[in-house]
Amino acid sequence: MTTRREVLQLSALGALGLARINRGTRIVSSATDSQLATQNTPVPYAGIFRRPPELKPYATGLDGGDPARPFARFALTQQLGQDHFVPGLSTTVAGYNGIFPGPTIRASQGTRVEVRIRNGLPAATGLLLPGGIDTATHLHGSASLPQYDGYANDITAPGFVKTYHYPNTQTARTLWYHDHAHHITAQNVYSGLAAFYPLTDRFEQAQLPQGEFDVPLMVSDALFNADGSLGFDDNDTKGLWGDIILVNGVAWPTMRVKPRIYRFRVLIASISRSYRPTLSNGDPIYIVGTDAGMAPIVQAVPSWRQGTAERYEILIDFRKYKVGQTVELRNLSNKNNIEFANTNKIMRFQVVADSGPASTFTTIPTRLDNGGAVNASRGGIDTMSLTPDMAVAKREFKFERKHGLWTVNGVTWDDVEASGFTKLFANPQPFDVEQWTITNESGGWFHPVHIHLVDGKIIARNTNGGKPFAWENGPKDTYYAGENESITALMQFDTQPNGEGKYMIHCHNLVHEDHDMMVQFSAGNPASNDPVASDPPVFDTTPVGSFPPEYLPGFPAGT
Amino acid sequence: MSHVSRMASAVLLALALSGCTASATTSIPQPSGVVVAAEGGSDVGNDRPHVTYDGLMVRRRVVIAIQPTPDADLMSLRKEMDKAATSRHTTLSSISPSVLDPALLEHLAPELTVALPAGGTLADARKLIDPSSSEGRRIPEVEEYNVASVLVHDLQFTVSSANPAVLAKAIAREGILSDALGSYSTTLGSRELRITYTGPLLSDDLVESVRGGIARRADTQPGAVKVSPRSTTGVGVDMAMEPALAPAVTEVSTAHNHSQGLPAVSGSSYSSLWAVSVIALAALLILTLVLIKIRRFSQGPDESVGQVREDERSRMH
Repeated sequence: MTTRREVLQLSALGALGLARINRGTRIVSSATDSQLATQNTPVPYAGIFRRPPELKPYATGLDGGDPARPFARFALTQQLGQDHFVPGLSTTVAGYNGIFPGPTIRASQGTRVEVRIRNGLPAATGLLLPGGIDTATHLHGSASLPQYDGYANDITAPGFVKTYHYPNTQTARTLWYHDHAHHITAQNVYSGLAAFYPLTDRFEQAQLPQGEFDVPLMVSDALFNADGSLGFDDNDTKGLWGDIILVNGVAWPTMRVKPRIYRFRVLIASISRSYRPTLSNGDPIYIVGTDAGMAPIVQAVPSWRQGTAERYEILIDFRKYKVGQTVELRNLSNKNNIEFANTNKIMRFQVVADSGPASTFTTIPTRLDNGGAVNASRGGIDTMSLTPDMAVAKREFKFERKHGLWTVNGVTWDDVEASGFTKLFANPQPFDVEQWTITNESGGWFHPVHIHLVDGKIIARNTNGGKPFAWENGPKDTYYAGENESITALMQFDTQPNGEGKYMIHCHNLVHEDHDMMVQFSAGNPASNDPVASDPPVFDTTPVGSFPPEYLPGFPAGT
Repeated sequence: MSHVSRMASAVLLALALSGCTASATTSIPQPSGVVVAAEGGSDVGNDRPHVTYDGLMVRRRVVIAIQPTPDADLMSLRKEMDKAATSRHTTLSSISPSVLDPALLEHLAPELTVALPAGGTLADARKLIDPSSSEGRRIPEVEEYNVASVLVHDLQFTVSSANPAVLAKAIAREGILSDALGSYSTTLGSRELRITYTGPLLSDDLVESVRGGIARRADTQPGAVKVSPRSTTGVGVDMAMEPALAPAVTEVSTAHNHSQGLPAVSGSSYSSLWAVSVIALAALLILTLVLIKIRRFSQGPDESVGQVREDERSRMH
């Protein structure tokens, strides 16, 4: 396991600006850009857009033969692979099935999913850090049991395997799975451990574009060494800002689109950078979904602010454009980021002739119906129907930098560890509604704050006239706390049956999370579902290659 | 917290505080091995950004930064401060804590920061909060406070518009200014919109970003958005003449153990300052390790549950 001492030593070296060779990966000196030669430097919009492949389950069936209880089983291997992010060079990634982004897993409400994840990464040599690559997998946006939530200390070491269980009882939304191992989440996600997991239901299917016109966009940034390997510089544990923007692993790609309405599931998978996407021609973008599902009222916005781990589902209407016309998705950026020459660009769309069956989706909706609470019989309330009078407790969380440490109310995950994982910030009971206020008191940084397990409704901000921003009017699980901003949200702790236990709260600037801006709460009994001991990983005795990946047919490159 | 992080914390604090003793006219030396902020000049972090929108657009203001007691009610604390200000015929305005010196910001992490009006002095501020100063008063719920003279941007952005009310609404909806400025005010002219801001220094890039954000909604070019001082009277600041870091005249105080303003030292005193710093640092490290040992021995197996300050759980039924 990579120790905190090793991580800090590495950070200190980076802070001193000492470039050194470390197991094949150079640690780039502080606040620099990629060291690529001109011929290896990506040119904006020259890359061809691609979608991550969709993984097929290796088994499907019915629990107890009951048609009402279907399941699907998937298998993934975390392993090294080669990609071509920059022209003329290959880059080693540590990804799910060795690719970045990892395979998309599409799930349906009511079908529980098991994902068998084997750590097939090197045990002796790391990619960005010395030592083996330990992992912990978090399905971000899922009300998973604590032992399947990617608890930071529920580590799967190389050679071990863990089968994660996901109930998929929630409303449709864009989830993603990514690494969450303590101290090394930033390096592991940056190395490639991130992928989509869209959850569908009949309401979402009836109201939003599907199939070809339902497009995942994983946006990230990176910097590269001259040999094409990933550079890593966390600026003395403050954050990583790369100079090359990737969309689904392609630098500033161009996507061919038909003159139709497209739905994009925008996920920021950057380690630290936040974005403000906008169309180059100023046309409106329609926000139809937020982190935890469809927004009840569609919002037309000229741009929106989006930090790491936030998801916004948007519609872009290409029907008004002529064939051959291009429009760029640009990045206006936000305060507290480091910019480079082309970080104001994300990707480009090029309109091509329409083809195929006539579209069934011909109108931009104004309102969306998510079907209401899925746990109504157990006291569940639809997130966007929560009101302040329902709250039984109010809590304040201060995300601050104190004495060189990233803390939450002055506490770090080290403190949680030192307590034997008993230290809690809150202990709401199942189905309690609470009002939480997140305040960023750290000065010149922003913190995308992720609260595991629960969906929330933002009811207030200390800026913007006291209201949530237009794009935030949907269920959330990650809250952008800009410099000196505070957010107040309502959330209901609607656990699964027998699903009580401990969950994490942390900054999703993954460098801050690693050092050590993370605490925990318990929904109900904290002794239930011990996240480390309940279902620990086991040594994998199954021969390598027992679960060869099979992918669904994809769409042509560039579309 | 691990040994390493505790030591790193102690090192940073010691160095930061030793830096605080430098005079306002000299830069703080960075000995080999000190963590260097990579964000200098930008809006990342708490270092001073690169600023050329200066002169009357940059002002000195006196602020009071307060770390309240753990059980304090911020609203009532602010009311107490306002009451004290009113009794002295002055007013206080909220301001971002980011105006503070970075080292002090990390040390204090104030939950309430207020600014005196332009022209307010450190002495005026002390009279509001410092029980040891003449006429000063003790305000309950204050655990630690800091009185400082800081630099702020005092800006006005002006853009022509046929319908300034609609434009103001469109700008607010997009949220670019909210992200960049935090709080700002708008004034509707007959055919123009004025946006005013007083707060932490903005980098030149951020000022341009604000101009761009206004211009987008006004359907014009960023250059058409005029940047000017909020007021044309008073004394401004030439940033080219400012030292790299301006800890200025600051005093770190607690409600229980007040200390006078920290002494200024000249640049020629650095060698002796660093000798003292090194000795102090060594002592601090030893003390830290001892404290860790003591804490480990005294630490029980179970730590507290429910560390958060929590309003009383008020169940509906």
